[in-house]
Amino acid sequence: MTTEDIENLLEKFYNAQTTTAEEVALKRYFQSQDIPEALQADKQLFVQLYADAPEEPQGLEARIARNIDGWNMVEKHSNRRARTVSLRWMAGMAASVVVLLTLGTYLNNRDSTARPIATDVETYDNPKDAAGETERALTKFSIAINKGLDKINNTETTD
Amino acid sequence: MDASEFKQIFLPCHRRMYAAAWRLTGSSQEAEDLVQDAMLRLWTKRDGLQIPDNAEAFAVTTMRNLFYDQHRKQRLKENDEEPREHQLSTERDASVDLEQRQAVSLVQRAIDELPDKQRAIITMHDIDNLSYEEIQDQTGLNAVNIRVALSRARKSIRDRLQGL
Repeated sequence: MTTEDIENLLEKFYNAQTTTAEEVALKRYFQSQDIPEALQADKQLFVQLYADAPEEPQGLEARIARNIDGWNMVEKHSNRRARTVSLRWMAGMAASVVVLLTLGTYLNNRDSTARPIATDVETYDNPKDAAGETERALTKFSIAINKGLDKINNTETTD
Repeated sequence: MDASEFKQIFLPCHRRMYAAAWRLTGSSQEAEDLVQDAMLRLWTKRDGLQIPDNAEAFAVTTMRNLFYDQHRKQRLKENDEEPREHQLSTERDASVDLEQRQAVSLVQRAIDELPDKQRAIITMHDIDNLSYEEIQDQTGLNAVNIRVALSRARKSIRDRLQGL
């Protein structure tokens, strides 16, 4: 093929209009040695674009297969663990819910009965009575405190 | 999909995957690593997959996407770092990196830098040897689009080589 032929083919090539056969012809041409200077870049393109793949390393397929087996095992193992953890977690959650419900119900019931008593018995319309009741409550409190303090003093002196 | 079915479908793809990986990385060790990484990605996503018509093409595409993702992250990371930091961290790696990169052909590097569509099409047509019809199936582009993208890609590469 003349250089002109080549250049025409190249133009088609860069317009992506070459047939497969024409591309093969170009590849074959660029494998030869005497390529004019002007076409050196094109040669580089053809040689590198259509380069053959190198030899595959020995044992690659076996190494990949081994990895796949490994991933499979890891997955199976972690799935087992995840399942037991979630069962325990679920049991714990269920227990907490039961406790909360029970407590809630209990507290709720207490609330509704306690208030009426408070309004009826523990408040006084008469301020004097209220003051008296307060004093009595505080006295009871002081006696209890003093009893406690005496106990502490006694133990200290006997030491 | 269990392990044996997965192996049946994807293990035979190793040859094409390795060839493609070698073009991208220029090093046999990195190529093998890339193939293994891609296999892992296929494995972790296997339950969401419909068994692809062409498992080999699918596996190779997955691997290439992985490669370009990794390199985009690396490039972004390098752009974020302070210039000084960047020098220090890559000093040790630079010589190894350079050795490996040199084995990646200039044409491949030019392909890597093409816009996504052109890169995909020149790769499918000129490297994977897919027909226009197969490319249409994979990309949804019509023959005219494909021809135009292929033309632009080839011209870009030539221009880059001539510029050197």
